[in-house]
Amino acid sequence: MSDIAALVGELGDIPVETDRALVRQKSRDFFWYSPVLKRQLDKLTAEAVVRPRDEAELARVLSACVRRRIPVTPRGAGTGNYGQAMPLRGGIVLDLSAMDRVLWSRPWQVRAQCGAKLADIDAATRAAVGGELRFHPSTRRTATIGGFIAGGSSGIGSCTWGILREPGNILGLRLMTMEETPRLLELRGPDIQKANHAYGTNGIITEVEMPLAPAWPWVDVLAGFATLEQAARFADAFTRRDGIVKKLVSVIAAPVPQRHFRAFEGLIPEGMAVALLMVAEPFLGLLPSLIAAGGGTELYRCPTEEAEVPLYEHSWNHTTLQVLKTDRSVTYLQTLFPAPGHLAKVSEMAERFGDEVPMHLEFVKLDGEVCCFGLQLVRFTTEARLAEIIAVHEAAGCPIFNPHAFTLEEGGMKQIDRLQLAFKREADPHGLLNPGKMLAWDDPNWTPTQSVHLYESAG
Amino acid sequence: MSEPPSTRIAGLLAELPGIEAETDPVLVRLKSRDFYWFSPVLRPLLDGKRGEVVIRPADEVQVLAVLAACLRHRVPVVPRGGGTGNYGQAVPLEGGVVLDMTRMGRILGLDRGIAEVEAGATLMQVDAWARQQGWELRLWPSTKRTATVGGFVGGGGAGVGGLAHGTLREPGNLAGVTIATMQTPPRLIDLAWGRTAAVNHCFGTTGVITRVRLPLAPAMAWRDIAASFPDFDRAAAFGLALGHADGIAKKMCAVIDWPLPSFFKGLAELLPQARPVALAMVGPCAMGAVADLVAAHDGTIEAEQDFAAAEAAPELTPFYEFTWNHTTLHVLRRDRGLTYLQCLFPPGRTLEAVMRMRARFAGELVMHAEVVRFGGKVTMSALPLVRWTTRERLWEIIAGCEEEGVAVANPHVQTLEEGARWKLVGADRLAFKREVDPLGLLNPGKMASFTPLDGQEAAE
Repeated sequence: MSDIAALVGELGDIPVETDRALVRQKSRDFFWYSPVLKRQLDKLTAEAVVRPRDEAELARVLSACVRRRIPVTPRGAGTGNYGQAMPLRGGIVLDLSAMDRVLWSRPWQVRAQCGAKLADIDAATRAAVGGELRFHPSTRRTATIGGFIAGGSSGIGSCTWGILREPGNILGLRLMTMEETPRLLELRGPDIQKANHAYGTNGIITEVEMPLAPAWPWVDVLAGFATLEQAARFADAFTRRDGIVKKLVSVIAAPVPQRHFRAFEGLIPEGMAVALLMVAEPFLGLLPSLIAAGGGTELYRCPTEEAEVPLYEHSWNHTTLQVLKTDRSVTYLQTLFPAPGHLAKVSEMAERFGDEVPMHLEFVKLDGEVCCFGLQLVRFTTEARLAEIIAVHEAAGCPIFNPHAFTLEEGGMKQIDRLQLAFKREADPHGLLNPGKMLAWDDPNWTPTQSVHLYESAG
Repeated sequence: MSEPPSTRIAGLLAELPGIEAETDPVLVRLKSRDFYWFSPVLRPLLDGKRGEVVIRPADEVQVLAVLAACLRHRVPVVPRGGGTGNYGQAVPLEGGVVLDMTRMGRILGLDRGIAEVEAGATLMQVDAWARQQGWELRLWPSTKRTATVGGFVGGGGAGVGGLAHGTLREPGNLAGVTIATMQTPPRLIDLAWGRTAAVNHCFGTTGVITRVRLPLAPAMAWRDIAASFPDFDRAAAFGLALGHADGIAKKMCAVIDWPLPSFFKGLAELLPQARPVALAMVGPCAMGAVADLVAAHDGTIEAEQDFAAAEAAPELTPFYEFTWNHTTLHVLRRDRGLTYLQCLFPPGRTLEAVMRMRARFAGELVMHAEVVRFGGKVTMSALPLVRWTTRERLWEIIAGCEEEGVAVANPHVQTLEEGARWKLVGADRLAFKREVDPLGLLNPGKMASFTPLDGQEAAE
């Protein structure tokens, strides 16, 4: 009997899936946005998917896996883009979507189980206390809160609240350790960073406590501008308007929205760059003069809840997805255009790469200042060229959070996170949680010899 | 014994039966003053200034009737709210009518987060009403209890909430105003959003504000905290870091150098000697993150309370009543040898500018800064206390601040122009003034660059 078969036997009535096709399906996320990850990760699969329904079942699963030294890769909805939820070394995928209860809502605070969907949490807190989560990724309708914290970093809401890492944006995390006798720990304050955006490598997040934002009636507004520069200048100024309540400020260069946003087909004049906005309803009266002053034209307006496809499903990594639906030859970047020179750098890169790297910007607050992230599309040719494009951005002072790498260190961090590594030693002493994702675990002396080594391994 | 009103005032009042008016000189003098006495420069200039009658309209119909009569009699009109201004905004320079708006204090409605209130409602009254429905004011002055909404728009505009929303001039913070004009005949005009700039902070020279529409914020049970720090540098660095912490819900943060906190009756008792303090209002769920931030700057939280409970309890003081110009008030109550300035530090090099200013005027200036958002950036404005010697020395200090790149809104002047950053009133406002008050009867002397038309021109 294989280890897995023995494990399954031991788990009793805890739901387990071993059908190969279904297991493979749950062993994948949206890694295929990256042709590099597609090559590297496409064949991966776990041996079983285990779906605990509460902490007691979870403890039994973890304990059994520790005893049998079976790797465990936790998974929410599998909406990540870097293979966060993909099992590099087999074992089981731990599907946490059954632990989906909203535990309580208080004014400006909510506590939920890790598998609760972001949209469901919002619905519950809107009804109970008139609040909603400060952020959500563009995958709000499917993504889970635990997955967002373990594998995400920012999103819709970041133009107001900064990024998840900023103090105050996560209030508490409850974690189960990967030990023979699993322990439950509550991380609060600075300790939260031990497990925030750690891909589930150092504990299983079972509950999260989040601050809430006021739940405004949001309205989607699409505005067109003659040039990318105009749209970016408008978006930057709009993000700085502290009197206007907003949740989304994105800019996408022509011809991407014209060619790929089916929901807005025929609505966007040729050649226009667009700004995607979510604005609280009471402030709509201000928009016409602001858009006009920025040289733009309003193209579309609809309450977010009433839209067939909400505008946010054209923003952040949904922009990429909308394009990939019809054109599989593109991939994307994740870039920081740092304040205060971000607009100049955007122009510089747009000019340098032209149609090869169509510009897509998300305006955010970072460390208390307005700047923008680029999720530019890239017309993919070769991995070598992709590496070159990344190198040029970094040389120009625009750091890339590489979405073509599956480890924590080579993605955003570019360095070993000593806090997370030390915590892994404590919470996962056998290195069984999502193995291979934290490079420092396997090589504590790892240094960023450039993410380029991934491309060198091209077979 | 009260002296009889002048013939023109008597004639005016005869045309306004049924409208409340007060001519008793003692009461009229009282209602002709504001808090200009904070300034030793303004004191001698304004001390004798007074209106001739206080008229207290009950509604917009009465406001229009008063303005029409004043127009016929060519009598100046100075609108007045709570009289909490500091630059003589509500002090009549040319006599005439003080138009006391405080009877018009009705709350008219709330529509999708925007409240409409009459100009004479106090900010406290509006905030209390809004809170019952889950909303609160975005901005209020430290004089929230007595200041009116119309006065805040006409003569104020910055204060508590500035750390979250900027000033009242930031687009989105003022949804609309209704004004009564001094045209022939006077009429009501609605100004929405950006058009409110024509009356915002114009001291009532461009129309009498009768109603105000204010976007509200969802109500939060703010925690008042007082933290002390080993030195001013660390207190200021804490304040600026809090300002930049977008994940922490916050409404206010003042950074106040020692010995100013020793003047804070009701709070000083809880504070250690010789330590600068930061007073902040933060969201309850952010207390953990705030405590971490205080500790990271070597500070200690000395006191904490629910701000609304403190507002309601007679024996307690909400911490915002130690900030903005209440800091100055607490000090001046005990030491009239001091006065103050109003500064705005350049974003990006805020702390450097604060430190240079402190060093340059060490010994005669004690720093009090407010962390604010301004034009989408976090910086500090300041209301430092200054040892008063002469007007010349005060002007030298102001020039010194400007040399350091610190903008000064001089609080020792009485005209809009002198108080403005660029020392002028914009052409759009002058044009609006010409339209709505061609004879220059509204708060005359405050918009100095305006030249009234004579009667003939006005008739044309």
